[in-house]
Amino acid sequence: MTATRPRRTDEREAARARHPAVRRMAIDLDRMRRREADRLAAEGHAWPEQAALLLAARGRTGLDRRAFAAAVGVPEATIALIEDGPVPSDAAGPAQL
Amino acid sequence: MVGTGSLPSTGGQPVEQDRFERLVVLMRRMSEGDRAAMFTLADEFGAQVVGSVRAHLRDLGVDHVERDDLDGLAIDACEVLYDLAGTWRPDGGALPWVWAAHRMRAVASRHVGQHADVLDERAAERAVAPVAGAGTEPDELALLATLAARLPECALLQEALTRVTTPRNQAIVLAVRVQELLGDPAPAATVGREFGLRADAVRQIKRRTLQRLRTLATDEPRFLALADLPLLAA
Repeated sequence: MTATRPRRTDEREAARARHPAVRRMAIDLDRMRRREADRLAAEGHAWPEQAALLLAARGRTGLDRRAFAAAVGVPEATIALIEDGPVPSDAAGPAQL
Repeated sequence: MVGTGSLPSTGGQPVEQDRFERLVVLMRRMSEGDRAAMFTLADEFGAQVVGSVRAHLRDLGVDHVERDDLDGLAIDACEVLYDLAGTWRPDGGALPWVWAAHRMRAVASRHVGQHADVLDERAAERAVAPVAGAGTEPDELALLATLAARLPECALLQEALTRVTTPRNQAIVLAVRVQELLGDPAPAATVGREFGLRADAVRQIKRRTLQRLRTLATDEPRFLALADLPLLAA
């Protein structure tokens, strides 16, 4: 038998995650993403929806920019460009990256 | 390996030591402007944040809150924690939502106030009734520009607004203030419809813009007079 028995702490975490009370206490990250998109749009971000999507996705992984960029195999500058929007000299949108 | 014992009670729900250290990392990242860390905070510590909001609501006599409202309040609370991340210090062991209890309570209070104020029927009628000649009224920015040409304090406000935010956000902030002065019971919702934004986005724009104006008034003596404006106290 090669499978490793899960640690008791892992089991406890999994049980907590399944517990209906915990699910009721979770924050709606999709709503947070929509609100972030509104905020970015209001601040004049060039592509607020995409930036908010990326922020939410990266947030769910718990990774900072450098680690996230390494994990998905793109330069950190690409993540920064999508999240922060272009400086005035940038012409390419996220769809062109 | 860090320990897993609970922290000493600081009010609210305790978190284990390794989770506290994770929290320290997230707060540091938020203080550095990493908005994704706010999502991580909501994802990993959402139960504690929601619990804190519910506790403040209960203290204010609200035992039941609709799921949709609670979601909005919890996100407001995360925004507050993001804004305060740079001033929180982990040394004392207080959890951020406990340390920022007065700000968390303000989030809950705004919700309670929104639903507990006695309805001013005349104000409500003004809010829903069509405004005569609305299409010909100058918008708030044009009005401010006109006043700025005559009144130094309006010119100062106009300059300050231009310094801290976009023309669209300036218009939103001024429009909200006008609605408040007109007695609109839901000014953010009214202005949100006009600009195609949700009410909570409008409130956020207003809050951030006013905060930047306050900072400007504090940091630059030339703008000190702005600190006395009722707009900044709103």
